[in-house]
Amino acid sequence: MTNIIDIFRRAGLQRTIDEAAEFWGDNAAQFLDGLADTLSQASIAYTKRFPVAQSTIPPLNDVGIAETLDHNPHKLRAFLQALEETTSPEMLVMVWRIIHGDDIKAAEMSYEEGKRFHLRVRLEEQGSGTATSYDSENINDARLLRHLGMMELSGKPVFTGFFAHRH
Amino acid sequence: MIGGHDIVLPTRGIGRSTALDVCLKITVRHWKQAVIQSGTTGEIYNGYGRVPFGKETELMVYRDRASLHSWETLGADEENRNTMVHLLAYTETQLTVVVDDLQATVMWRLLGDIRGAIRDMVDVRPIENEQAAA
Repeated sequence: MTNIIDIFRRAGLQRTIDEAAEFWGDNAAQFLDGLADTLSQASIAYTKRFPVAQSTIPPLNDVGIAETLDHNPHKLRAFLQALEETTSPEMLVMVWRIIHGDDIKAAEMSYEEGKRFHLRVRLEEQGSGTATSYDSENINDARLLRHLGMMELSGKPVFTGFFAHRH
Repeated sequence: MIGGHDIVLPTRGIGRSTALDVCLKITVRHWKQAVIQSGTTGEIYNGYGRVPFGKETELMVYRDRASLHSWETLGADEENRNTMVHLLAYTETQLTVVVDDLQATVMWRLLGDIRGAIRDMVDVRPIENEQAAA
């Protein structure tokens, strides 16, 4: 994978790197290594689910990241913010698919204090109609829901996409 | 373009590309068979996922292929009223939506959804200025 610091910088998220360095101090390198490792795991998970030849969406690898940075830097910013918020490769695959156009067909969250958390999101690829599901039992992944855009279409609920926050 | 109404939406803090992205996403939700065309090059994009928002400043969204054909053949005409939305995003601080008839139910609902989505993002979760990007 390309240098993680370089990806953040080129996406316009220099402040993310600066703040992480300030917060983590001597452990900043470890934090950044963790991000790079999570990104690598997400790339592997993506390839397993979506062999490149079978999808019109850019792959989650150096090529796909470079393409997204070139054509849609705002989408890469949203993805990199998710990378900061989750360590789940599956959730990152989900985010990558949403920012590149998959429709959010269903989302279910269940929670019991001190006992359990479960998030399941079902996506559908535009055109092919291919459906995929993503699960998490890590409550920290609820943070990702704050990125979702929403609307009512003819009075019915629709999540419209995954968008970046101001950093 | 079309002799209709210009609706200017403040997008301060969202960023040009995100604002255009949100508007398009909502429009294609309303029009499942929508055809997306670059307003600057005329290129037809094969779906939302193909649009390079980082490079685009104008998009025309037609309700369907027949609407595109009608616009290409007749230009703005009574026959194709309210079958195309023109999105213009030239600055970081505002986006313009051009429609034929603001009173038409289909446009009124679409604009209401766009306005609501943009307003939500401006109010509660502005994004850093895209000019910070390399």
